[in-house]
Amino acid sequence: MRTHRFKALLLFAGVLLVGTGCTDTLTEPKSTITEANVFTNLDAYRSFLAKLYAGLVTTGQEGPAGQADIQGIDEGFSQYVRGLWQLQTLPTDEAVIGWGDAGLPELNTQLWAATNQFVNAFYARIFFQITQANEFLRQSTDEKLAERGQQDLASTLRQFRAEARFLRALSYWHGLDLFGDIPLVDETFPIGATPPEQSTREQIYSFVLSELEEIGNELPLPGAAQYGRADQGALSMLLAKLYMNAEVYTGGSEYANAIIELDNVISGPYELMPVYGDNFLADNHRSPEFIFAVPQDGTHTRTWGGTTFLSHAALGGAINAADFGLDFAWWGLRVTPDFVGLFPGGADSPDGRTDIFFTEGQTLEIGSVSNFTEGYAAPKYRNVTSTGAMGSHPTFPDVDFPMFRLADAYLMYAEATLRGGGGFRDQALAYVNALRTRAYGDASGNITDSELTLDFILDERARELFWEAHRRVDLVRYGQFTTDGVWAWKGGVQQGQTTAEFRNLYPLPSNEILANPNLTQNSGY
Amino acid sequence: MRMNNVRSLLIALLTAFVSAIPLQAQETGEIRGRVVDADFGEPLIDVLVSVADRTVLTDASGSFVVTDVPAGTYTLMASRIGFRDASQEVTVVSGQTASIEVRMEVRPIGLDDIVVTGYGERQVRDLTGVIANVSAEEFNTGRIISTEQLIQGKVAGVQVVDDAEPGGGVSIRIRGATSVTSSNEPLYVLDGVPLQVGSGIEAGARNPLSFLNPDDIESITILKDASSAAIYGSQGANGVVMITTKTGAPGARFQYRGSVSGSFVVGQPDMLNAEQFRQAVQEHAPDRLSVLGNENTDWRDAVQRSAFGQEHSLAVSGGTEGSTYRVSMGYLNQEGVVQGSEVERISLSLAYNQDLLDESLNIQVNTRGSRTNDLFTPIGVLGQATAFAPTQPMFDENSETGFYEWEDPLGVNNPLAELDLISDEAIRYRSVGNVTAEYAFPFLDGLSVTGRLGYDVGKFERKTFEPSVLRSQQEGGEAGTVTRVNNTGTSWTVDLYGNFNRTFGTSNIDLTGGYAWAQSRDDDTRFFAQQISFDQLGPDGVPGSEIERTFIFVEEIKFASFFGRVNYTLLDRYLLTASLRRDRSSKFGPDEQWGWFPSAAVAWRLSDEDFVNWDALSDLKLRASWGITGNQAFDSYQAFKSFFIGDALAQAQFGDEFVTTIRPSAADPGIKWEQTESWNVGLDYGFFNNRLSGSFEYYWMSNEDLIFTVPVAAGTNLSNFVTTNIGDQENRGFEAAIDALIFEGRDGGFSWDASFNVSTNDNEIVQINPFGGGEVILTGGIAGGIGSNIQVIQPGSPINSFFVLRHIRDSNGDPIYEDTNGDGNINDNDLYEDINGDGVINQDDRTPFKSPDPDWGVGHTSLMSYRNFDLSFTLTAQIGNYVYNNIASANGFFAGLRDSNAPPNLHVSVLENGFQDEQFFSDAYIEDASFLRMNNIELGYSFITGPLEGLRLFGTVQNVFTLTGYSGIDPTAGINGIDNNIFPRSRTFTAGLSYDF
Repeated sequence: MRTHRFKALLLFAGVLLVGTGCTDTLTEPKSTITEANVFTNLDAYRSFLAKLYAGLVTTGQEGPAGQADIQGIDEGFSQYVRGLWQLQTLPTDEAVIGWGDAGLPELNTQLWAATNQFVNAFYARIFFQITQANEFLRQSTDEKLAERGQQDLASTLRQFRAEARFLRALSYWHGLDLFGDIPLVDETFPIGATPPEQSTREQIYSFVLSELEEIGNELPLPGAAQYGRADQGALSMLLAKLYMNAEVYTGGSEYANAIIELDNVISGPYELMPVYGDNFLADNHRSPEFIFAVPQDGTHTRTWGGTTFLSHAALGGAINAADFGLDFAWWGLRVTPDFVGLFPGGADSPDGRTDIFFTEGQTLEIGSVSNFTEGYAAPKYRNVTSTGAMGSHPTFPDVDFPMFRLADAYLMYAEATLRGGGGFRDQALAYVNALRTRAYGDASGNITDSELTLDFILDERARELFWEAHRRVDLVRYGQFTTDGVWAWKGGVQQGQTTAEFRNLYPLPSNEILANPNLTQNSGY
Repeated sequence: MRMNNVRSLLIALLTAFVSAIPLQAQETGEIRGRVVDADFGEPLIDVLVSVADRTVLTDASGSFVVTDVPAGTYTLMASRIGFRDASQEVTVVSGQTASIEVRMEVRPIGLDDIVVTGYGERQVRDLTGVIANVSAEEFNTGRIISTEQLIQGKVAGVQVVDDAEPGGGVSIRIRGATSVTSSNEPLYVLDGVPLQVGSGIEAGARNPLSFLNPDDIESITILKDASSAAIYGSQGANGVVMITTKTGAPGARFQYRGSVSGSFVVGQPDMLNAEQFRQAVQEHAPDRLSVLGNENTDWRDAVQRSAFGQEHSLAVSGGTEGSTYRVSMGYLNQEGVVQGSEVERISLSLAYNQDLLDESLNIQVNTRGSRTNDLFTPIGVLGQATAFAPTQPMFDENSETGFYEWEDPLGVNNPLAELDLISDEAIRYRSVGNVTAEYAFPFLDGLSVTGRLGYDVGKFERKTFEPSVLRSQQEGGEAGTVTRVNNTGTSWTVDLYGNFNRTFGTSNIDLTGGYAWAQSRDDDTRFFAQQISFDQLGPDGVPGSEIERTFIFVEEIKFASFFGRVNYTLLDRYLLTASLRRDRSSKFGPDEQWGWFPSAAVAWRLSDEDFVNWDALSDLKLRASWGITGNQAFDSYQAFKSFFIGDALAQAQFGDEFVTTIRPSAADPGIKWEQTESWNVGLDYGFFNNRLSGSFEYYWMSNEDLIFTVPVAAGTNLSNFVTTNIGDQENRGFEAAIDALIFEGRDGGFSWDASFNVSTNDNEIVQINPFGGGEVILTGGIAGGIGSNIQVIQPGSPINSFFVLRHIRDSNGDPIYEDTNGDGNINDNDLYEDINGDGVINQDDRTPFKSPDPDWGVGHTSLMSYRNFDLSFTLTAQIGNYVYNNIASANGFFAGLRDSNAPPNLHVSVLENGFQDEQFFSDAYIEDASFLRMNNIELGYSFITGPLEGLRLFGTVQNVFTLTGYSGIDPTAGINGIDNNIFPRSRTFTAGLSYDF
């Protein structure tokens, strides 16, 4: 009896001792890759670079949605091109959207608030791109490569790093254009640090310029990069965009520099697509006109934003979605009557670019923004190829989004010339008439030198580049976005009314103002 | 000690010797006695008197006789419900009658009951914290599928909300929500083993506790305040639900309980009928008239049904003193009132208890397992049935599936086709058990040690098949989908603790200290195939497909703790409890290794003081407690920056090549548990031997370091949000409970035991931003728009308050819909109040308004009996809870008719409101959903004597009635207060019998 007790006691003491020794609770992720084991070869760096490009088109690590990059918003809403497009197009005369999603109607009417989810989402997307690029630059330094014994990769990575800096500069351009004074964080800014200081629009502008100047020689020559990647053509276009709008951004005139960059682009291997509408079809990756595009693919690169949004949302009413290579209509986007009026004769204009309009069952005027059949439809992005074949997938189009194309360079050249940048006026007229000839199918739409005015160029930019996310930038540059210029539903009324000047800039998102006490909100908000 | 042993040995030998000798003559006598109430001397009937292996009952005069008792000295035991057991020595002399009077003291009801606490148990009279116990006889009745439903409405401050689906999700909130990001569900402790709630073991299952057979549950104890729950440290912040299962008792016993039931839908959403719908189309979308059919289809009726259910439970128990067992088997089958929904469960349990080593070692083995088979209604069927135009037919001979579908793909899909063609089934095996050894040291009175080894293993598989002919599949472009989700989980726990309990003079000291370890691993594997080439194999084979995806995620959790507790009692009336726990968990980041969780409580039994000498007062105790608990029910690996590889559909195009991406994620290496500091003051009272008893509680809790996934300053982390500990909120509330034995019907007379409980809880978010700004986090996704949210987390408002535009009302209080500013159209500027006064109505004018949490929760239970009949019912009520009527808002505007060539049905509210465009964020859709519900009522008849003794017949009605002003179908629209095609609540009629012999 006593030995039993003793044994039992011994057993308990033993178990207690063994048990209490066990306090190590560390467990590391087993199914995800950590920093320690990810960068084992060049492919890993290439995949990370691919993410920086994919940040313009996909929204997470699963296509079309899943493992989202940006939180706090519907994943499809967080897509780069969709966000950029909505902020640059919806508050202009180019488009209205009929959906009631929170914050979306206010983009039509310029009555947005700092809490607007689309404003928030695009700001977050810009800084997602910037911080991911920063992380790429941190992970690919010579020191890091030496640590990992990968010095042999350094030369290849030099171009990768230049591309990362280009993409960061591109996003900073969008940031300074839409939001003005934003924080400037580069790869020297550590993760998890205290919130950064606010920089001025001029400081961001200078940073972007200096970055682009530094990396110029490390990118391939114009047209020499793989499709979808940045080269010196894309770089010159981005520089031209900055210079063209320098008066808005810094107050200084940089049109001469714009001409230099545009010459660099125009002398490159680019040429106009013979048929205007072919630039927006499922096989538009073959367009000789594209300088930098955001590729989408129905099989490999799927998103609910980008041209998925642009193609589906433009359909509704009597439109048969299948005719556009799509499974169904989303009943969203139309154009305002004011935009239709930019074409002589409206929708029946001899200008072939109006062939895009769909008017059957649609009214010109928009009494109710939410009713798709009010306002002409304009299905510009179509998931069919130039030979009439369907895209590879009826939901996720193959149509790539043209970020920069030659027609834009032509029109910028003409405008910079008229604004005293030193270009040749006859050259400018020739560029504009090249676009007119393509649009009319012959020279009947060509203009004379006396018709080549700044106002004409603004209208021509709308006719040529509508729904390509340029309109707000152009209207701001021409001073016609807020206090001047009226179109349907601007200011929240059907006939339109002017709005306050502060709306030339979007507000810094309310989330960001709260998370970063160093920031001062844009005036007016 | 040794002397005692020797003596008992001698007695045993002597007894054996004596009984071995055939007695020449029976040297016996008899015992005659009487049992009386010690206070009043009144005779007691039906007292169980046992002496010398014989048992008799007293008669109406309290008398009993035991004859033929062999001569000798015996201990006579008397026991009766409501009295303390009494014992008395009696000596029987051969041929004589021994007379005896036994006096029994009334036992104050409940005070001597033992309740389980963390790592121990305690008499009710000695409790210092807030612990509520619900025993089997008080449980809710009727068709109970999941254990939580047993205590719905039974305990003050405990809100139990089920989703009405058979075996579906049940949420418990003890004293309100303590967290936003982490789980708000309490810790469940099953027979001493903490269940790994939130782990993969229960992933995909409808409900974490649905594996348990409610018939096996003996009692459920709720540790409400921090001083009780702090012994569970970083797992205790949401309170603890301790579930004790039934064990065997000496003497063979056989129990069967079986029932059948029918369930019927109560209430339908108020959609337009075919005539109203046609008229609406005529007026507001005349060009859609051509697509309308001529039917009058009730789509909701078409997808619903009267549901049948049955349940059988069989238990065998028995054994001898020192060795008992109980084995039970259960079968349950319950259809849902929506077609396609069904649950079937087979369960088995075993409890075995063995004393060894002269009763100093006690071994308990407790294990149970179940197989649950869930059939699910395809997601969307209810919504489709709500929104499908009533003018359209159900079937179409010419379509591929035989079901009618709209020509326009934007149209609502036919729910009957989904029901017919989709299969969605889950099978889950789960077993939970433990071996517990308790050793009481014979040489040191009051010292014992306990070791417990627990396990929880589960395997889960869900298989879904959506054939390629299905309309919804063809629209997505991925026609034909097979999905398999497999999950296996294993969890082990080890608890080792010692207890020392001893009385020194007028002091009693009770010390507990120990160590706990828990570890679990879950493997989640998933397989998806899309664009399958062949429908005929269903979910069982994928001969070919265009897209296949696999997913594997392994999660390991480890958890180590030390804990200690002291209970000190002086003079039986001054009570003190203090505890301390130290936790370490794999979920904490490398910067936060250990957490401390202290608690303290004091109580004073005033009723035992000499200066309180009011006879009617049987109990009066003041209590106060304080404690810190934690919540670590958040995802693992939050502290690690991981690189996520993109899939084949999210590649980047480089030339003609598509490159897979990788992306680093944002992380906070300093993440740690959420912390709750809470205070409680309470009063227990009892009158008339506790025939009337109850308690009052007031508590306030501060939930700190709440984990939020919050926006971070742009540029400072790898995404716009990071998950970190930054928020604070407060909960405070009042609880009252009263239990009255209104009639105590001895001898089969009328007996009525009634209990009431009332509680309030006020929640307020204090801050969610480290810089103290008025941050806003939107929650509560709704149908309507994309990514629309109707609730908010904002400092100064209750958690998940509705976040709405304030609709301007007309003189009748109805929301207006007119061009008030005369600009020629009706838009937000006409309809809503300009809250921020900037002259423009936009999202900035949304404001917090009401909350889904009730101001008051009320519960009432009555148990009555008269002769062979028993009757019980449970009433629950909530006051001041609000619901967003999403069915009305998502279908409540005429523009919906024009948005496609397949007009969906509208909610009748549109006829009154006249909204042309969607008004998702209008406060017109926030409705007061206060209600009073008769949860269940049960009538039983028991055979007390005769050949059918032990048989009880019963009939139950659940959800008997609900009184509410809410216009939707169910004021308990889930825990989040958003009524969007929730599973309809049914009225269930159950008839059954139990047989116990």
